[in-house]
Amino acid sequence: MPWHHAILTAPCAALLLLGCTQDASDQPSPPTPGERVAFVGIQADLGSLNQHFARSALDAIVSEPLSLFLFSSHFEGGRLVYSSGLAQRWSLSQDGRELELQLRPDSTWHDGQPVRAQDVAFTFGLLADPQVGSRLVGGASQIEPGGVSVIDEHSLRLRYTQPMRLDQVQSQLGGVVILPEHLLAGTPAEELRGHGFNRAPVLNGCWQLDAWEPGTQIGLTARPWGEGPGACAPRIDRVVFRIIPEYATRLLELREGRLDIVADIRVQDLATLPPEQAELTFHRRGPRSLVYVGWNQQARAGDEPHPLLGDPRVRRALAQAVDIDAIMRDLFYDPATGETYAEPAVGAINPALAGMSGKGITPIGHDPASARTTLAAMGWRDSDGDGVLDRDGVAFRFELLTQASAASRAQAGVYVQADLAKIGVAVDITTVERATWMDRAQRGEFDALLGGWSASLYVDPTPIWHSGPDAQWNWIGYANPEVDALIERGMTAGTPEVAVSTWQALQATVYQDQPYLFLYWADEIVAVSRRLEGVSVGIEAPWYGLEGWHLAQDGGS
Amino acid sequence: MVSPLHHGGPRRPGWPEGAIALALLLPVTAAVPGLLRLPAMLTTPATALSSWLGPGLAGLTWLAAVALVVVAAWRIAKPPAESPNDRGPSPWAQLRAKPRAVVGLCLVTLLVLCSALAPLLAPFDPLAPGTVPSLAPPSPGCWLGGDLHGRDLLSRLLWGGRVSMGLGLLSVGMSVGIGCSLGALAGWYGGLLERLITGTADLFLALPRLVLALAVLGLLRLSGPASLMAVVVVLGATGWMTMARMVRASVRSLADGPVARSARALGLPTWRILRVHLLPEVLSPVLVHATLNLGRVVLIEASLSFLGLGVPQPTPSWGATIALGREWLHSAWWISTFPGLALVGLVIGLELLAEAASED
Repeated sequence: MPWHHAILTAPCAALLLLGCTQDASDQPSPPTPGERVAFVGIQADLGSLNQHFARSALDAIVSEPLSLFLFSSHFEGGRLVYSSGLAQRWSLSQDGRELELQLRPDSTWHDGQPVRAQDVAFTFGLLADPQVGSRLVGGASQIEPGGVSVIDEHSLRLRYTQPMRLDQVQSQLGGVVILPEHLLAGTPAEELRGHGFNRAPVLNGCWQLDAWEPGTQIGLTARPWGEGPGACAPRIDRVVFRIIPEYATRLLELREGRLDIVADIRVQDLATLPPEQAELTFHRRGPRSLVYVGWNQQARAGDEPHPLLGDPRVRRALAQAVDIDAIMRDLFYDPATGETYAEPAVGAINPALAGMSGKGITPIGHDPASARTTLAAMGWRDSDGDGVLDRDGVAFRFELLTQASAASRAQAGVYVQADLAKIGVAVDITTVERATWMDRAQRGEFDALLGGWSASLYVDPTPIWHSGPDAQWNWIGYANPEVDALIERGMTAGTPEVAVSTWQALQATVYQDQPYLFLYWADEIVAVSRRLEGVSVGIEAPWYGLEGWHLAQDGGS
Repeated sequence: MVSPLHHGGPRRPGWPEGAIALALLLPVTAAVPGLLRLPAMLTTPATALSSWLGPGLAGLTWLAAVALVVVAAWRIAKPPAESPNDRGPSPWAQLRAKPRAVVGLCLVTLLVLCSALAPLLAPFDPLAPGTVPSLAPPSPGCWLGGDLHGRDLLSRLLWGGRVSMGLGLLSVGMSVGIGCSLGALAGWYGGLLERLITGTADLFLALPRLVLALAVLGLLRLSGPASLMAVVVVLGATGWMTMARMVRASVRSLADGPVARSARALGLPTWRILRVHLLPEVLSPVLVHATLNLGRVVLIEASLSFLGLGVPQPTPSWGATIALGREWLHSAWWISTFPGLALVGLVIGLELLAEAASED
């Protein structure tokens, strides 16, 4: 090689090698002998480990062990039951407008600094600041402006704008991640979203970030602290979340024993993963999510009703045409056990919540003949013999917007398309990336959209069904004054019983209008290796209670 | 009077080249009157034959394409005799001498024939869910198995071939049209026009075709039948460059030849000189290239469908079916495997045919 070539090549090669290397601090250290490590397979990298800026449900689930929340909760008897977390004691005033919280004195941040009442007040200040744009803003939505006052180092008082029930304040405050004032106080509010803290957070939970190797894995290490009740004493040393986008690869890794937990196992794969052979246990978690088709009530341009879908009679006819039982049978039925991992939906409120199962609502049955008759009575006929109904020269054809990343929902779209084709309604499925789907949904650029809602355990129909400015997810433009009034009554109900009856009335009214084609509530199957014991799988999360996890070889319960 | 228009110069293309050209262009010409309804023909088999320009025309188009490809390939195997008395070896002998061509011919014929006869051969409606059990494995009653939605894979494979190959034929036909026209104009006129056309071709060639197609389709964001036509147009509009360069070079060399000079002397208009006297001279290499390109276009369509930007649901296409089966490879291998094999077979067959043709 000529000498000048070598001179040119050497720095290039050095640059290339430098480019290929990664900061060692980004890579979790490999397990050492005797170290107890659990491996969890996840399908995507995270956007943020700070739940205030979480971009997906996965962000929230993975980052949850990093925080000690004000209240801890578990689902029991059809509702969430709250117990002490960071808040050791609490009291709500007689008029329901003032909440006093007493914090644990032994809680510390991951950097060793004590957690103080000032941190909680600082966090609520951020929540109230629209420039921050926290996803958890609902936690402070009913707190008075300037209504957070620090009493002393470990106690504080919150004042509410309206009378609140204890279960309401607990559910609102329970999900708020408290942030350290001493690390973030000087940061301008608008810069918090892009702050490095979100990728390497210093929080107050039982687990702390070991390393985050983008696109590969995220490691959490145990951080035992405290003594007595509520203290944290994990029995494994580390949890590694391995990012494996391909479902088939996650399944293979699970079978080969290189993963201990994989969520979202498909029903059809249960037969290929026999528990006794693969050393796995399967947990059913549900209802996990509502799958629906949302009908745009308004035309894409202007405020006129949608020319095809704006009429509730049409929407009811479309609902009659879709065979939801057949969809559930093909997608969620396990012939080995005879179980169907889904149930028909009649509303957007989680049916697992006490009194919310939609009893009293008569589901619109599968009746394509009646659907045809209804549409014919409205003047929709196939006048040109092309198999698609038309009226005044306009064909009954519309676009159904789906997400590329939501494969199971897209599968439901195929059935909806086929069933509607049978009554002469043509559906063009457009599959787009999640960000595009969201963008088009928010701007109302769709005829119909196939979507899913996570099964929330806190009832607040405002974002989906209210016609006011707070309805951030009412993309379909649904507006019914009766429903607005019911939402306002339910949200200010003095007792849970009144709230339940109000939500039942709301579900019945919405179902009558059929702004959504409510398809089904889908359950989730979580596979757990027998190597790992003590894993809690529940309606709250596919895995939780990491402190209770232990390896089978260590024994104990 | 003996005219250089009828004697001398390079060998005139024979009927095989014309047959291949027709085979490529027939679906286009047949589709022109009902071009906007073509997607419906491709996507809704139940109504296709009755709704599109009268019963049987779509099938007839396909059968014509099959026949012409087969006969043309046969003719390629038999070079023209040197003299009227020399009939040369028989086509069978020629074919036997080119086993790769025989393999290619068989593969392409089989796949094209099966797709052309899909309405007769497909046992089930390829779009209707629940016609076979969900994820049914291959069995005597369901030869290639079923997909998640309980759709028969054999039916989807046969109809999917119509879509994949139909899109390929239309796109390549469009590329040939654009490439020949622009190449002929550039070669004939030269100067600024030539620099403009060759510069544009170079610019397009510098961009990876799949990336270009992805970008355009992503920007267009069309749905339904319009997206199917968009795939055709994008693939056709991004595949003309090599042909344009080939035609430009040939026309440029012929433009000063005796044929062109005589035609000019006779006062023939430019378009007639190009169409009747020059373009047929360059058709042979163009068609070989088109045959090669057909396989590539089918592959690109499969890639686009695999990435979710090609053929929309529930239209059966090989690429979309492979994508659908990707997540089921461990438990339902048949979903991706059979369309994958068909795709490989078609591409290899076309490559072998084109290779054999280029040897002549």
